Amino acid sequence: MKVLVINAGSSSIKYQLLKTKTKEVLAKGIVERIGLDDAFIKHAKDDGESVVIPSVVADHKDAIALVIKTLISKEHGVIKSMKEIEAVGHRVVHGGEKFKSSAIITPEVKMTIRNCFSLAPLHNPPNLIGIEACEEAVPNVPQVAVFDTAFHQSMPPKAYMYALPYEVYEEYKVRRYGFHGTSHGYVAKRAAEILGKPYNALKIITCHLGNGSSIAAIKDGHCVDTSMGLTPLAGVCMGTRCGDIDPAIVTFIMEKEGLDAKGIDNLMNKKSGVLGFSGVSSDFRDLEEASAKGNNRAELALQMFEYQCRKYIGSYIAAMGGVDAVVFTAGIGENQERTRRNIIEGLEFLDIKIDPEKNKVRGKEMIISPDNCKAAVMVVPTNEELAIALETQILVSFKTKGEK
Amino acid sequence: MKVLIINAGSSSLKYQFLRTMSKDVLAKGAVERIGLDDAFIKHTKDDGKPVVIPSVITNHKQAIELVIKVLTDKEHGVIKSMKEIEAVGHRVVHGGEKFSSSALITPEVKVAIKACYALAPLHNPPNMVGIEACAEAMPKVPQIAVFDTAFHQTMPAKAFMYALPYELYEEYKVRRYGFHGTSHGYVARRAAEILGKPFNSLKIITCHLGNGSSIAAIDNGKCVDTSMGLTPLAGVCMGTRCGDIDPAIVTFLMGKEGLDTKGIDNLMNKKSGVLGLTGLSSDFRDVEAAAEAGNTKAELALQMFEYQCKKYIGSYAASMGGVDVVVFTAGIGENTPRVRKGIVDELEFLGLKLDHDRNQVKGKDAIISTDDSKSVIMVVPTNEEMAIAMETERICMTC
Repeated sequence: MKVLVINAGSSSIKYQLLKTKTKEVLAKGIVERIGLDDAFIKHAKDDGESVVIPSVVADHKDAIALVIKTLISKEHGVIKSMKEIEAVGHRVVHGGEKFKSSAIITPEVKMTIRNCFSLAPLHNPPNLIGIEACEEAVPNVPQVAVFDTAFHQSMPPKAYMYALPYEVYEEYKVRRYGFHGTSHGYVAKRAAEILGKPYNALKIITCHLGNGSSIAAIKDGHCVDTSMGLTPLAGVCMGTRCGDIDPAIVTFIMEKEGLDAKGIDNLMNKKSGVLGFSGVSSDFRDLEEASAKGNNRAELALQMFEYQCRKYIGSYIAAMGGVDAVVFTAGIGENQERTRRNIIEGLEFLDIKIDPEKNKVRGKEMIISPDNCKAAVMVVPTNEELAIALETQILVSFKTKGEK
Repeated sequence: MKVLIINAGSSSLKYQFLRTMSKDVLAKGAVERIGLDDAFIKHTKDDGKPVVIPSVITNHKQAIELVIKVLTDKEHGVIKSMKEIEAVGHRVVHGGEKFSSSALITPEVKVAIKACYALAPLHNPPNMVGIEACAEAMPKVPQIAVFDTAFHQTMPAKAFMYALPYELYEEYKVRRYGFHGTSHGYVARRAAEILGKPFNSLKIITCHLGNGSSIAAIDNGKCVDTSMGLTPLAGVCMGTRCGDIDPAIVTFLMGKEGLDTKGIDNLMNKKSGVLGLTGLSSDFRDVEAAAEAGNTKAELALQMFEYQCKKYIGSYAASMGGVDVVVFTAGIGENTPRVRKGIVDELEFLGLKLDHDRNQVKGKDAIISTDDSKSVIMVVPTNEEMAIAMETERICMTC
């Protein structure tokens, strides 16, 4: 099945056209600066060379039309007609408590996505605009919403509830949702495949460590806990986000620095993390470089990140009563040898170890623990677009079968 | 040595008079409603019968004088003259980064305690008032400050720093301090004594679970991490405090509920925790009773508390590379078998195996793991006043 995957932001739309059977990416790209005078599309065919085409793109509907036009264009296209697009899969950040899995888009589904606007005010509204633009542009093609939060909906209440007044949960649905769910689910299932063991008989800890980082505990095929919370700010420290802090610090700093709610949110989300701490960069590669040159704060920022990840792994092992596999994925998880080594160091007492030679791997599927260990440590590159395409294909095939 | 222990609040002053060698409490009590018309002292001698004496008490100095008067009183007293008070030990909540142990109070120490006012605005100022009142009332007696934060000062930077702009640490000293340090240190040392092993050769996780709860990781005699943070709000959920939450929730709720910083601080500190979740009580005994009677929110609150404690134990085992001893102390930790079971059940892969019969113990030193458990689980009642008295004696000896 050829699936168009759409990730719509407020002024941009990322897309990929994939063939699910072969897992090929036929084309990918991004429409940027939607609604502005200097809008453009950056498009790459499977041969990998990208072209930039300035275009008039007044709104998201124009943007989707432009994507389709480019996909079928003689020069840059990869398909002959838009009829070849068999389904569209949309990344939707927040599915609230309603969506425990992906969903074929219906008027009710759109309403529910809208009901989650207040939980993800920056993401859900443009996601919905992207959906509606596609409905108009390709009205007969089935659309599927794949939620960042859905995978984590299997968490038990003791893991997702906060010890706040209960009314805050009833009234505003304040609870832990977790994010990166599509990625956690994808790499956990891949890990089980690679190990040749049934996914629903394993205790897996997935570490999605990128510019945003989250860790999840997956027991017998169900997510039982994850480090992000109501929002993606919580958990381990990240590129620019502070992660878990004493909540009293929020008001302490507001008063000391004379900040309002927007100001402190901006500080915690954009000016904190390893960037705010080191003053060097939000990019872990830059930090390693700075640390190698003797920058103490860069070194400490890396140590804090590693230490916090290790503590989460320990806590999730306790939560599940053991662990069979620890999986590293995303930019840092797939590529940073040092970070993986330091996270796992000290877990030898649980028979969790890393083979230094195998740990040199970058961006490839690999078991990096020694052969005789009880728990496997693995690198499994994530692929959210492919995961969205596969989810979309499953739902659409199921629906088509049902209709036949 | 006979030591007077003072815990001064804004309008009250708690005291205990102890003998360190025999660990006897000779007398204890509290002066309450200082500065109000209906001030009184509630005093108990070692025989255990409290007396309440209404008194005129306009300030902390008068409160201290009243304590001394009662201690030397013919009817209620336990000593003949105030000369028998050999030292005064003061509980001081926040020692900032300055104090990594208890300290003999000097003018410099007082300046340093004052420098921590911003970090503990509700506690350090009355603590200081208590110190100054004692210095006036007993000018020749050595005064010792014992800090809640000092024991945790050995934490490494990777554990105490937050991933916030570095300037916030430099400017305001925003970092993890941790609290209940006197208690964590006391029960950890007691645990080592009971086991007959050197304190500085053990990996110990101490769970101080009371109305306020905190957990500490103690590696080779040094605290390496703890669950409370800049303030006592962080960590596991508590009687009325929310513990760790996504920090974005703070501003989310301020926006939704129209709260200012005071309002949300009040919500998180006083209206949350198991009280806020259940709507019933901040007292775990009430919550446990309600859970047994079928109240699902009460059951959930207990499960959340147990689960969060369990996760901290797992994370601290990971940070120390193992664990030899888990110690339960304070109100809940000493007295609630169900909660202890909920926390350490299914941690056998960490070497922790609970003996369910032994776990029925309440308020006594006890090993509650099975004989074949690789690591030890213990109950060790805390005694902060005794710990302060011992600290006071130790500092007096070295000065």
